Amino acid sequence: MSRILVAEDDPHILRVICMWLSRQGHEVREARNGLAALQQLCDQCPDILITDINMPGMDGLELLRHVTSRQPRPHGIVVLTNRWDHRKIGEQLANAGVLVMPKPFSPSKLAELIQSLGAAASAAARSTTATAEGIE
Amino acid sequence: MTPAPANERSARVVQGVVAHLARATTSGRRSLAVLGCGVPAQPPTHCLRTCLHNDPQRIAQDGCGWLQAAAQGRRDVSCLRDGRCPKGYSVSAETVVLHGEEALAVCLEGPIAAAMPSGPIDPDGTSGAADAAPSGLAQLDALARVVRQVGALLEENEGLADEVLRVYEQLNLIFQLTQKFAGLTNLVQIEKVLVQSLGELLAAETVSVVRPDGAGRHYDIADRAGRPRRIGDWRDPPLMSAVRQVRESRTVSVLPHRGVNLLAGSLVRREDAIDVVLVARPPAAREFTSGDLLLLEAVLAFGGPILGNTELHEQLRAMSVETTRALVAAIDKKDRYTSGHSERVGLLATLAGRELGLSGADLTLLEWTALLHDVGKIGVPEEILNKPGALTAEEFAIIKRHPDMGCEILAPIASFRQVLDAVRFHHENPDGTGYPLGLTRDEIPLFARIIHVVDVFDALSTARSYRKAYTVDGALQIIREEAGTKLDADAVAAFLRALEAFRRRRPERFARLYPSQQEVACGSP
Repeated sequence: MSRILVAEDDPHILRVICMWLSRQGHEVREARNGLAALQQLCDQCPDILITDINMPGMDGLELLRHVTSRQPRPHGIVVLTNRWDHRKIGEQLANAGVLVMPKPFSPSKLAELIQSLGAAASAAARSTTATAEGIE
Repeated sequence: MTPAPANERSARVVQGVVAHLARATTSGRRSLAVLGCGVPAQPPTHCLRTCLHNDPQRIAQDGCGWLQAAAQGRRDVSCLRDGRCPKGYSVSAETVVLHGEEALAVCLEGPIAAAMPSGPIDPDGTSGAADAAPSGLAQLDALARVVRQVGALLEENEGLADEVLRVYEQLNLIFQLTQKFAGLTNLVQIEKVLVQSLGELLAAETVSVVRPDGAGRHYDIADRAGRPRRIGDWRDPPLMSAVRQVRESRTVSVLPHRGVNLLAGSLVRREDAIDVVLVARPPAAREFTSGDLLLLEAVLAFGGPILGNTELHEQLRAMSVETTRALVAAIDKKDRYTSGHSERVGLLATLAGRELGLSGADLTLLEWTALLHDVGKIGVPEEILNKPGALTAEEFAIIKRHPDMGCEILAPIASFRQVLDAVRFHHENPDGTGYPLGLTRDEIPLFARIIHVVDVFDALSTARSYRKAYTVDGALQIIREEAGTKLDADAVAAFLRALEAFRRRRPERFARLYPSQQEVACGSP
């Protein structure tokens, strides 16, 4: 189970994604644009951030600039964007450690991705704990 | 995506609604609980406060034992109706049906505020302002109705969300398939991609494609190389009759077959060529759902025309290749000395063209042009073509018309329009002594220059009615001498390199192309 923040401006898509993720047992929070997502990120950093690119106010790219420059940052970031610009976005974000999926996304692929990101996140958490204990 | 089982979903719905209602109705006097329906028996708030002392361990272990026993042991609510709990609180209860399951909704009333320890559990519920509450059962009734409605709405929402996600998955598959198909022109490959995608998407063990004649191929999805097997002994009569039915009705359906999970759909390649695709899951796997049926239908509806069109395209292409080869053979038949000439010029011109840096479509076009360069000879009388001895000036004039005639013959074929000049000018010499126009150097198209060199080489290397054949080396010597005057120097250089490489790499094939040369060549110093 992971803590996931979903940023998406289409309220229906947002609902569908969040409902689906909660039913898989994740703790899900939602944001309608980049700014709202950033505020939530400041309150509590999720394990995984799923964000759209084209959003009013603060778009996904600006959100990612903020997110990737701060600590702590989510363990995994998944970008959902339109099929026609997903390659371009993928190239732009090639070095940001971000996974880009074209919309409409494949639920089965996203589920797989979230599972592997979640597993990586908990492994990282375990190793951090172990290091901390080692220091003590 | 796997939809949550109904009871799990209804439990979540009820949990959510009950938690919400409990927050809204808990006051100093009343609290609500729903028992059963998959909800962990969470005692009403006041029980937590009074009987269980807000102790999480006790809550987890014991819950409100009395309420649980009442709910589990006796679904007959009369024992609870207007009764009292052992702590003396007034209890009203009502059975409510949530998603087809019976649950017990319990409302407790009493002077809770007095018994409540400090540290409220629910800050929203401690205002104690609801003294003027309506009677327990009446409100419970209303609440149960709300629970039912909200539950139904949530269920509907989840159903719609599932539907949206299913459509997403389908769209994705179709986008992916489109991308994969875009690079494929081969029928067998297209079928493999189609079958492999279906297999993965439907979590199948095998996918089989049954042809209209009953033959077919059987793909093991775990085998990523996609090597199909011939369909074997599973072809039993009841299954085949079901397959026939699917083909005739053009539907998608689940077939009952000896405990195997089998899904069948029709793949309409053409109106008269309908395959049936059988998707099989292992007997232990989950059964196919309506979503799976829809998915199969979408993919087959999309794949059928692609396969059909590709098939048609392949047929047309084969037909045009065969027709052209027949035409080429007809030209060569006309002149008994030049049997196989066009085929050889086609091959060697392609090799020389590649040496000059041509590739892809250009090279194919050069090959076709070279194959057809002498098509105009169809218009030259056989007596002239096959005349032993020297030609008269008139006869030679007729021969010299064959490039123009070739051009006229090919002009109606749209795909050859850009190479008509190459056919027309393949007897032009760089020094301006050629025919039909006497063009010089760069005025002569590249394809014509290449074909001219190969044409001369092949003519010299084979016997004519008026002379014996030169050896290959003898012919090459003449070509070298004519480079820059009668023949284009670059084309000659490229041809010499290409021919040398071909002779070295494929000696047997070369010997087959120019067989009579071997003895002479061996005999020459």
